[in-house]
Amino acid sequence: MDLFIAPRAGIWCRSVSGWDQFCAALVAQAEPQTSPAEPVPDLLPAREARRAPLHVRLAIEAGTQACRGNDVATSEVMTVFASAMGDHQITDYMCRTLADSSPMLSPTRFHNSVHNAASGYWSIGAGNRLVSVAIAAPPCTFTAGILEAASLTVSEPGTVLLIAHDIPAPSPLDAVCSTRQPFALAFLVSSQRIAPQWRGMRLEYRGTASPWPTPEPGWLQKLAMDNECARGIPLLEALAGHRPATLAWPLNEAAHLRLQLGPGAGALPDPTSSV
Amino acid sequence: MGGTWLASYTVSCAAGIGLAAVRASLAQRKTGLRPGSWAAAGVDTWLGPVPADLSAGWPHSMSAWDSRNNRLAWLGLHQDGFRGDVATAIEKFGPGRVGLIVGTSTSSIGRTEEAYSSLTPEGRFGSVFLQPAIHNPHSTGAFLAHVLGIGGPTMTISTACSSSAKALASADRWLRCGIVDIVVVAGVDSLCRSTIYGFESLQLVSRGLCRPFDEHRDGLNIGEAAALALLTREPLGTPRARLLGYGESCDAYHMSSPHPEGIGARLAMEQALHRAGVDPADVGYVNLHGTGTRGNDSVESLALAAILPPGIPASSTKGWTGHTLGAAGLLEAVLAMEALTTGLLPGNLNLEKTGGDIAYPVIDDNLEARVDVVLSNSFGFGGNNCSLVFGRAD
Repeated sequence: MDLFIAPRAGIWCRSVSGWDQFCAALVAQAEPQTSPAEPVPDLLPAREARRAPLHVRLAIEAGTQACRGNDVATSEVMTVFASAMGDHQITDYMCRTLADSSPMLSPTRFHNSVHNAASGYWSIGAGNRLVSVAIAAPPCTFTAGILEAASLTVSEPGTVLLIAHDIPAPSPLDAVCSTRQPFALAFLVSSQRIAPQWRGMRLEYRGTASPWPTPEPGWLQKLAMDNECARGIPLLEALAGHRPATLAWPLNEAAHLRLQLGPGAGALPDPTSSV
Repeated sequence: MGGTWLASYTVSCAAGIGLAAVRASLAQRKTGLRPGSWAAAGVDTWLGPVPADLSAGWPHSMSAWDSRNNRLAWLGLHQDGFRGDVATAIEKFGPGRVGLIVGTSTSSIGRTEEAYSSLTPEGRFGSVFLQPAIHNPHSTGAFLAHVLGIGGPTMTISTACSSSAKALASADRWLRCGIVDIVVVAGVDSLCRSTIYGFESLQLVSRGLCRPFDEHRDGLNIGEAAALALLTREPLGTPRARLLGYGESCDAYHMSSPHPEGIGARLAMEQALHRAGVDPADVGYVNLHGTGTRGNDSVESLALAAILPPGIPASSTKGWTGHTLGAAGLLEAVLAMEALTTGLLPGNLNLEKTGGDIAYPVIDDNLEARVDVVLSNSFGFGGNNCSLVFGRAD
């Protein structure tokens, strides 16, 4: 599948709260010594933004960055929300409450417990009625997310915003889940070249095994081990560095997704051996 | 008309295990719903458990995968020769050319609930619950990929009650993009405390039998189901139906209430019909979302009236199955496709007098008719909507 990717992505983690800061950290080859406050994205009405769960706010923050950074309207993108584990904090709340013999659940927290909560808030906040998919595929959630976003933009006219987000597992869920840091990334892909700076990108599904791509510096490697959505960071590094790249992410033990990112603006040359 | 092919499908739900049992229940207008029959719930309502002992056929060697949802998936997989059909497809195309998309809203959360109800004194999971593959939204996807030997991409779509309808839409895209040649699509959701007490907290649970579209309807009954289908780009074997179109939208309105004018529902239906190249007047049957809540049924009928000419047979089958949440999309898609092959259009159960707020009348008794095109609606929390259009395979 041949597509285009917007030059600027969205990102939020414990030390980075935006694309420019991420790019600067890559140049400095060091993790910023900052701890941004938890995001309160202004896409949502102030009251909703404060009350929405962290899992939702991370997604909306990263998605809003990706849209605004590329002058794309938040109301006009199709969306794919990829989260391996969903909202652990709400899972913990629900299961703790339900362990009671006559449980009283909060109706708000119940409707926030759906895996597509971030999708729902995005739709409401952005006034967006376009298709929105919420997926999970641990340990290959990021790979499945790119595949879903790509097949969506190739099949439907328009741009797709992919958001990958997960939050740390509280006890006792940490015994069965390895997410240790909060992280969200977001980027835009389209089958059309939306603006001259958008870079050509080719995706191929291949029925062979592949290792995970690893980010360059140590702190990003740690992040990629602590949150499977951060396994998408090597793509962000290639975008930030304005350099061509060939990357591969496993889909399972015997298949992977291969991504070629063009050297700069514009489409990739015609493939000689595209699947 | 173009479209991908349904090479095989099967359903297991309160109305029966496998297609033959479900067909019989539909023909006899016999509900599978029962009063408060599921032991773990103290809510005064009716539920739709599958009429089977889920521990009966479950292999003890698979304790790492054990959850009610996966047991239900296992049961469903072994009906109507479905597992054999998948094996045949894998043999023909190779494991890497076969993908899997599961739609579920609760996955194995019932197992996580169990783990929390028997924590150790230190507040940790007991050893029997240390199942990393189980306590996440993809539990049933990973389980089915494992037992079926799927070698292609595997993914779970979880958009509440539109989940497995959207699984078909995504599968259709995977096929058209050439990513794989075959996609196994499943919708599996099982009874658990999260949804029973959750819907109770929203005051959406009926104290009695659900009565979709009735004047006195007062809420839904929660059910469970495993629905599985094999979607192919080219016809395989003797296909049962074709997926002609799908439409997906968001309400952009509220997390748990539908848009009052049904804008999202209309968008989904319009897109599905447009993509299918079907004139609304040519739809022969509509399987409605029809949950039995005041809000859904009123809004859905409004959207229907805006799109379809009067007189097209439409009904909800939730009076048989209950609301099977993330499984409902595929379960009801199959029930709609069954109308194509059997000519039986199931009339809404428990409908005594249509509500005054219902803008599009639904059929209250079974009809027999040859239909060529059917439409199925699924709407979920987050205002997430999906409509599907199917046509005959012949």
